[in-house]
Amino acid sequence: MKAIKFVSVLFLAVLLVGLTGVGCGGVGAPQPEKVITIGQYADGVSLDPQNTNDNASYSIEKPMLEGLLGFNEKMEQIPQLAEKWDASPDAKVFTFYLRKGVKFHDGTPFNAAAVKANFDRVRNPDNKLRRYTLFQQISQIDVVDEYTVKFTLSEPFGAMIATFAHPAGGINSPTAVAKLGKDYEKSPVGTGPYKFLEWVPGDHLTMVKNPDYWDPQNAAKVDKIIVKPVPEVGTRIAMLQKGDAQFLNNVVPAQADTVKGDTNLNLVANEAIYTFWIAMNTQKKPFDNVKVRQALNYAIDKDAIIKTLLRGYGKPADSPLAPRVWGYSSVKVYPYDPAKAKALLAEAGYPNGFKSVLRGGEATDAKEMMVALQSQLKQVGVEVEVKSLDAATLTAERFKPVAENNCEMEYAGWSPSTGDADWGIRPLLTKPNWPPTNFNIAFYTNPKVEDLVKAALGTSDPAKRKAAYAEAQQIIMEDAPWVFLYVNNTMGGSRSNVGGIAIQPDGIGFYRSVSYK
Amino acid sequence: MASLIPGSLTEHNKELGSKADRPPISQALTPDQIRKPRSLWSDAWSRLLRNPAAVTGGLIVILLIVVSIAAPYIAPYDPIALNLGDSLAPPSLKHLAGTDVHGRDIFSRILYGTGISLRIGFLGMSLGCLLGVTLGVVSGYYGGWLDMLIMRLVDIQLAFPGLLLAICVVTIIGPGLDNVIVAVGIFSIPGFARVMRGQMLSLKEQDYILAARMIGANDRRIMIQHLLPNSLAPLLVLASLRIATAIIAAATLSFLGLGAQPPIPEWGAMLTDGRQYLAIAPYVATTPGVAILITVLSFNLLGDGLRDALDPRLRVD
Amino acid sequence: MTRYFIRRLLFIIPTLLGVSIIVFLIRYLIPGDPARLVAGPDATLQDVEIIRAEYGLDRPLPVQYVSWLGNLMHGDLGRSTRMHRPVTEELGRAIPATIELTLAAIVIAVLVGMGAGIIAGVRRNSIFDYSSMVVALLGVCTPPFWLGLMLMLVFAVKLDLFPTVGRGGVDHLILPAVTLGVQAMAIIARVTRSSMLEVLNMDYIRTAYAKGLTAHAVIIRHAVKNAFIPVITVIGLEFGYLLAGAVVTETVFAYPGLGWLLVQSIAFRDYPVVQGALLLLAFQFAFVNLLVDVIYGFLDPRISYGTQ
Repeated sequence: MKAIKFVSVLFLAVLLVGLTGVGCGGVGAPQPEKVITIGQYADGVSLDPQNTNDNASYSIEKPMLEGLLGFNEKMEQIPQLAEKWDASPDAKVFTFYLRKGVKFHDGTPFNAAAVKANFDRVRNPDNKLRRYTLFQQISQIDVVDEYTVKFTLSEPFGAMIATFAHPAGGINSPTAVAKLGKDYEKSPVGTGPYKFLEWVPGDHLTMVKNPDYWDPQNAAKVDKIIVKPVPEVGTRIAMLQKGDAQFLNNVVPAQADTVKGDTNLNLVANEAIYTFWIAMNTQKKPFDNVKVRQALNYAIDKDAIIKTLLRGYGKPADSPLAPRVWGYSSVKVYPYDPAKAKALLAEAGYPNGFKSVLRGGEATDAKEMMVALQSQLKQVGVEVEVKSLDAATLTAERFKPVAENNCEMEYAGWSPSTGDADWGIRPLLTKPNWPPTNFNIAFYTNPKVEDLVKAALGTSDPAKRKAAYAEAQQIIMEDAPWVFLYVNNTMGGSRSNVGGIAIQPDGIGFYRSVSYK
Repeated sequence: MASLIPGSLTEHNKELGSKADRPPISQALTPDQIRKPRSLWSDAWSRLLRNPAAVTGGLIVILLIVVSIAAPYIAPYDPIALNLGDSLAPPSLKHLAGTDVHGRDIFSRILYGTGISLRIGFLGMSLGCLLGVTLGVVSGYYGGWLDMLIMRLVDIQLAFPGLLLAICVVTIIGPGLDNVIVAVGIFSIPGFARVMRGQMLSLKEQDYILAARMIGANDRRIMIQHLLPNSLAPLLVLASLRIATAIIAAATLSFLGLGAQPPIPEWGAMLTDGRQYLAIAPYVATTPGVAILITVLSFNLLGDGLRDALDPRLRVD
Repeated sequence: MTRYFIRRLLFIIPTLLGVSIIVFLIRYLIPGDPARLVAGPDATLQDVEIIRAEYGLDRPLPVQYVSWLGNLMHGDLGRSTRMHRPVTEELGRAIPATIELTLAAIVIAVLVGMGAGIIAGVRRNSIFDYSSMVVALLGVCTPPFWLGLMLMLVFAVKLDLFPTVGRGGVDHLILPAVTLGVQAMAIIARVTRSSMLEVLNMDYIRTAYAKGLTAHAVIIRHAVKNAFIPVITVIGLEFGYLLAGAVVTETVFAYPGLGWLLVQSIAFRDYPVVQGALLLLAFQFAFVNLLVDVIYGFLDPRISYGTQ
């Protein structure tokens, strides 16, 4: 019997060791400092705003790096490191009057020279920075005086101010850049309310309070922010429920009710600047017929989809742009009218409908959406086969040039990251942006729209620009190159005792004003 | 160079367990046993019937096959028709397993999904079996450089973690049910190859084979008429176990987003798509999970039972 | 023995070469442009070309392969297209995590599996025996990602016994290691039980019992030792599964290991990382197989490596 006893004791010992390991967790241990842990859907890739093109990295950069302008939680432009600015009427010269008395985290003073160094860096093609093309229209930067800097463009670009507000316009300390070279993107130095402490990629990133921040009213309200990458949706919500994280970027609509129903948690929903649609290849039959395209717009019951799949967090799209995009104007929502859809199809010569292929991504919510769309299209006689492809394959397929491109119906969404109508229309709906150049997968072109977009870029007068975009949106809705679906919400989840934190309409985290209530 | 650990060692050692009640057995078939093939199988059959676990497994498998054929007649609802007004309803008399986010009846989808999972399991395993057995037979029988080459290739395939291989295959040939079957099939090849090779190695020196060669039978005839039939037993065992593995592999591929296309009610896809609702509607993910569990369990019980039943006759070397 | 060991070690090299060639071949077949993926859909064609040139992706594939091989000789595996960092750094970070997890899984699998198997074997046909074998069977049949999520929901969230995600102390390891090790645990339990029964039921043992000898403990220890051989073999065979299964477990528990890195890299067509990681995995797998053979040779005197 001794051996059995021995084995049983061994057995129990293992269990005990496992359970006592619990005590080393450390989550319950009292913390003298205020720490916020954020569970983010992905890790950052780079911390250099000029070499970043993913939202996860931008979310991490924003509390540490600031630009001449920025966005608030409503996607409105706010001055940041520039107090005011001028634009020449021909949209070629932009002058910024900088804030005084600001220092980078490493002590370097912030001034016009620093700004010039920063933007000279990104627009120099030899530096091979990912955001080069965003700033390549700058042909010259002049330091007018210590706190005034003038940008001259090689051609008019009315949306330039919005480009400076884009997170890629974050300003790096020139001393740090010079010192660290290629390694700068692993440990950034900016002017923000938080400064970088350490980054263990794939595990966590820590930033700490910047005691010398230039704006005491908006200074850091906690001592430390830790960002942890947690890609699994179910795992993230578990973290929040347990208190291992105080905020989640992000929460999916399916979890919204759980978060709202839990008294310890808060749902932080924010109307996004994402518009979701089905692009129809206007160069292929039957989508070359505007009646067919409009018919499909009448065939979709957007309200039902928003209510069930988005749990009510969204609204039908009434324009190719979302309401919070600068330059948006409301045109119309195609009502749900299957009878009218069938009538239009018959007029176009397809009384019995037709067959097609609907492609989209492999994420669960994309698949769910496509299933719903497939079912509704079937009601009007349009039979689509759903193809849910992984991101890489999907991108490769969509970016093929028009002759080889197999796009028929493509489910996608887009957000203009500059918050400006130009970036919401031009890359998607003008001819120079047909694949493989950019994302106009509807292969749409309308000469009037092309002219309007060009005109809007050629002036910096906001009223003129808005008027041009308004007309363009009107034409686009009538032409219906897309089945216009919905505008969704960005959704974050937070603990009830935490505030001042959200996800911006562009999907980038707004962490800088987080606080314990 | 022969690999010194026979391919099916796990099976070999599992088999040791069932042998515990029996006295040690001889390595080779005695001429008596070969001359009376029917008694081999009928003996195994009666042994199988005496094993309650195997019988349970077998009955469940039969039930699953019946359900898969009868699904269109017994399912209360259309598995594909949407009903957005009734989204995520909990289990009730109206919907035995509740509804998913699109308002579709989960119970009906599970019923239809039975046939799909069985298809993936059976066809995937068969593909792997066909290719693997061919490779194993050729490799074991001919030996020499052909053997070395084939075993090296099998080793290289084994060096890729099976799941990752399946991911690569699906990424190359595209998603969709049929391609999942191909991927799962490819990933089953090494198991069959090694088992058959082992069989060849141990059987080809038998007296009756030498005798057949002496009377002039050519290689192919020997392989097909003599060696294969006598290798059926371990093959059968491996086949039933691999069906289970294939079903789990397909479900895992769905978990990684590379499986059946919507709106097909494949259990793995249902499980994956339901996992974000675990907090509010756990039945959406749990029901297909349980279905997979029961199916895989039954094939494992059956496979174990077959192994126990066929064991004393043939050694899996 | 040493000659055999060295010969097997050398044989690993052509296997690795084969693996690396296959990976490069796969690049011909898999759709997807790494440069465009890195740039993102809203980048201009110019941006994409800059990235393509930066990573040398504009050269013909055979040239890229030779260049990669050359760099490999210097220990340079290139830079990750997705993460901007050297591949060796990415791997260097992921490997300890996976090794930790795999070892923990094996330890748990062996301790719990053997423990249960021994007790079941000694107390044959008891309730413990039947129920533990049933549980073992269930362990093999449960989809691992479902098990992981369930474990997390119950033990980490509802019961608050463990942390939910990430890598850290021992408590971070338990749930993922259990999820990963369940299959091996189940097989080990059954194999151990069988081995125990094999020894305990031999005639001379039964006679010893009948005579009431207190050599009982000695016999049991002997049975346990006998069980080690198949257990080691199982571990060797299951190792490949463990490495692959780690992918799913790492995803569910956000554990930053090699499997997770590999899946992400494939999805992003981050070929430098894929090549490096697969090479490493292949080597690990082959090496472990070799170790298992060697240990097997030590334990089981019936096996001799002199021939062939």
